[in-house]
Amino acid sequence: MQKQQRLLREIAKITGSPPKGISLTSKDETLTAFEGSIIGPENTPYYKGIFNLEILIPENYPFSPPSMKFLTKLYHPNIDENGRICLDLIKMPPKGNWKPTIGLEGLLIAVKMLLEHPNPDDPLMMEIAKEFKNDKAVFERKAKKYTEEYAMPK
Amino acid sequence: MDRSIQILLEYPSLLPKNAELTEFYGYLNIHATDYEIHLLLENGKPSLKMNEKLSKFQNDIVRLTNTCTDPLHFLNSLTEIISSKTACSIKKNLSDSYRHILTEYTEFREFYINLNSCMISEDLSAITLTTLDEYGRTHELSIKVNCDTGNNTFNITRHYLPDKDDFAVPSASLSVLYEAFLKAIEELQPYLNLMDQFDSNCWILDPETPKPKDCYRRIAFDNNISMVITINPWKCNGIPSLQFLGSERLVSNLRSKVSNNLENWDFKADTFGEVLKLLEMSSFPCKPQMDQREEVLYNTGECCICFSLRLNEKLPEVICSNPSCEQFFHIECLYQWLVSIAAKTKQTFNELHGDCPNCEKVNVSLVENLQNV
Repeated sequence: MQKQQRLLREIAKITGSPPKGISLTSKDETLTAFEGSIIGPENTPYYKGIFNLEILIPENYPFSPPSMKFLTKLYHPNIDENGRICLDLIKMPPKGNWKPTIGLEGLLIAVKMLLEHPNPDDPLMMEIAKEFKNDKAVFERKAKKYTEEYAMPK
Repeated sequence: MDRSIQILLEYPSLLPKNAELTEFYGYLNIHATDYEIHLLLENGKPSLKMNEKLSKFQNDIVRLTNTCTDPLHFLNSLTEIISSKTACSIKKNLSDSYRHILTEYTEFREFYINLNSCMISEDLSAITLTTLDEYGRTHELSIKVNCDTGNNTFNITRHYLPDKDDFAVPSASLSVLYEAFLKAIEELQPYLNLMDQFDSNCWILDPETPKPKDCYRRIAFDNNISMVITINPWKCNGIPSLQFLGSERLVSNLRSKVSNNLENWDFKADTFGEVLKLLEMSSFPCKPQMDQREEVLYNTGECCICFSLRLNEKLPEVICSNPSCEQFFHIECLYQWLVSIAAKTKQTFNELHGDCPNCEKVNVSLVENLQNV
């Protein structure tokens, strides 16, 4: 019931004043699927890449979080090869930290921040997390290679 | 046997159920109503299986079954009985009623030349009219025309005035109805003037498009505090009921002002001015100019769960008590959220307690009078 009204409001807001490096487009009329893109932030191995995400809105949004996953491959301790993201904000309490006050824009910003600051202490990819902690140069080289290979227009 | 064949000839809608012609089943159509008939012949003696429609005539049928031995005669008598008993409910010719309605309507239109507009629907079943009062306000009245019910030919179906018992009584005369309507409007003039005064001098949050019926206004003082004022339409000089909405810390201040000044209320003075005096204000704040581009995700005063002001016509009513949060929620939204994180929500009797979904610092509680959610 609240879903439609709220999503329209969120879209109006995000198109009115888009946050830096983030875009959001609706995939269909019914507002159940969105496509988001994040531009790789500066000073990270993801710089200049464009990372696309698929966002699915549940029926009882905003009372449950949307599900998000990366469509673009990337090398990151908290994102697995299928694009799943380890982020507490997109999980329901008590395990996660989703709150109805967050919204799609907030989530995209949070994901962008995850690209800037990976969280190796709560990893999804053990190997990458270890590498990130112990051998940052190797991690950055690999991540950059992934970015060039998958996230840049050819 | 002859008789049975005669039944077939005279009542073609009754079909024999067997070759011996001892059982018939079908319908009798009397005065455009079908009656289900299940006729049994035992040694030529007729009897009927009863059903709901026939039960109205049970006594007659029992008598008939006892006295009558001839099936054809039985059916004839049955038809006669039903026909005579239902005769009174046949619709009578309506042309007289229509003539009456049309005469009433034309005379009415010619007599009240100050009518703003007046229309009758093509099938003569509804009349809509509007009239202007002395201050130029338009009042609309919808009337339903009843042809069948004899005396009460005209019936008010919709008007936007506050409800009152003695008004809107069905009447055979259009002008009686209209006079009652005019009288009600006239009585309500002070009330309507007062409401207009509020509407033009205050920042009204609710109702969006006020009708004369709406005897309350939700007036915003600033983004975080508002007041619902309810006026008695028939006694608008009296002290209106005031209800403050906002965080406790701001509201308690206003509340004490009101209770201190209440004894100085002047019943003869202008109510609008008296309300201001009550609140120790010189004027109500006016609506701030909104920035066209929406910089914030939700405006203050809006529910921070559904990001809107109105949900099913209701405004947000719950406010977080944390002074640095003070977010608003619709009861429905907050309820749905607290229920969906049931693990973190505590319930005691009919109250729900959980963290404020915005600041997570304080407990918000909700009395669960929410059977319809």
